[in-house]
Amino acid sequence: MKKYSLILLVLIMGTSVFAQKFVTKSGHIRFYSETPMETIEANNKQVNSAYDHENGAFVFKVLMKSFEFEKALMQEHFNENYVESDDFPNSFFKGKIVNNEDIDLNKMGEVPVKVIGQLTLHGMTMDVEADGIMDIQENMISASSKIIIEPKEYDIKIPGAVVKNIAEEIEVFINVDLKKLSK
Amino acid sequence: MLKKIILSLLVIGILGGGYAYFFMYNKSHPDYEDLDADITISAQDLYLQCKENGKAAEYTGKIIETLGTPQEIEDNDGIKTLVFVFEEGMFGAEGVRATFLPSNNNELSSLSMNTQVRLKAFCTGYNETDVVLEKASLIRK
Repeated sequence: MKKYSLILLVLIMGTSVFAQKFVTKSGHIRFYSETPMETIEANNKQVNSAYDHENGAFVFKVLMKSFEFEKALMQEHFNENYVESDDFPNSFFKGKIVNNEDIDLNKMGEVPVKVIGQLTLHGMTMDVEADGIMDIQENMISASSKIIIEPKEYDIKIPGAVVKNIAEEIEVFINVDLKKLSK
Repeated sequence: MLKKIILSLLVIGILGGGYAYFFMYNKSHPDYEDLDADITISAQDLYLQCKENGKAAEYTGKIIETLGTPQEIEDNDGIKTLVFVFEEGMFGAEGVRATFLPSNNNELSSLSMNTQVRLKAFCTGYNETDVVLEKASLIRK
């Protein structure tokens, strides 16, 4: 009897923990660079992301080769010369929502959030802080945010010939529809 | 006379260089449906090679022809993804995810799950939960 009670307790605890997790494997990250010479935009719609309501943990995992550019040449340069995606195939963010206690899963609607964490890109890890919005829905959370990335901070070298074509500060827009993990 | 020849060669060189740059700058993306596969491997072996044997680099950036039995089809704003599930992880099903070219949408709509499918796609890597295939197209054999 004691044994079965313990199993039941573990199952209940497990369910309650998993019920707090929200995930997606089709998140969208778009980056945008604008200079007088050129506007560059790329989209990645295969972004893995997870949010754990229990502790506010938020993670992203991005395959660099999944970024799509309008021009094939830009995509080639991005992968081969700038982010060197053969050597650094993944980029990831690990952080947490500072005001996680403001998120009430029973209260539908938008909640402004602040996220802090570390972004690893091109083998370099930097602290990142961003404001965002969590839109609480039934069994789903739509999260959006924008961060600014400076390529030089991540040791991404832009050749002199195109340095005026690429912005020093690149805007990165994040949109993920996180679905409640049913387990 | 020599001056004229040098000048003509210079003009031809500049025009040729300009044309080459324009052509390169505007070259289109490959037609993934027409590309030949670099590697043929079952979906399960592809997943295991990347997960267990750390061989993702051998498949990333390659055109993969693969065969497997999908368990799910996802539709994100008209973009369809077949999901070949091989295990359950911390964040749900893990396996191979193949996102298709829109030209395949009609055939995918009538596809029944749990039947074997052969496809060709560009592998963008392994993200520690799934092998991600993009620009996929069904192979009808």
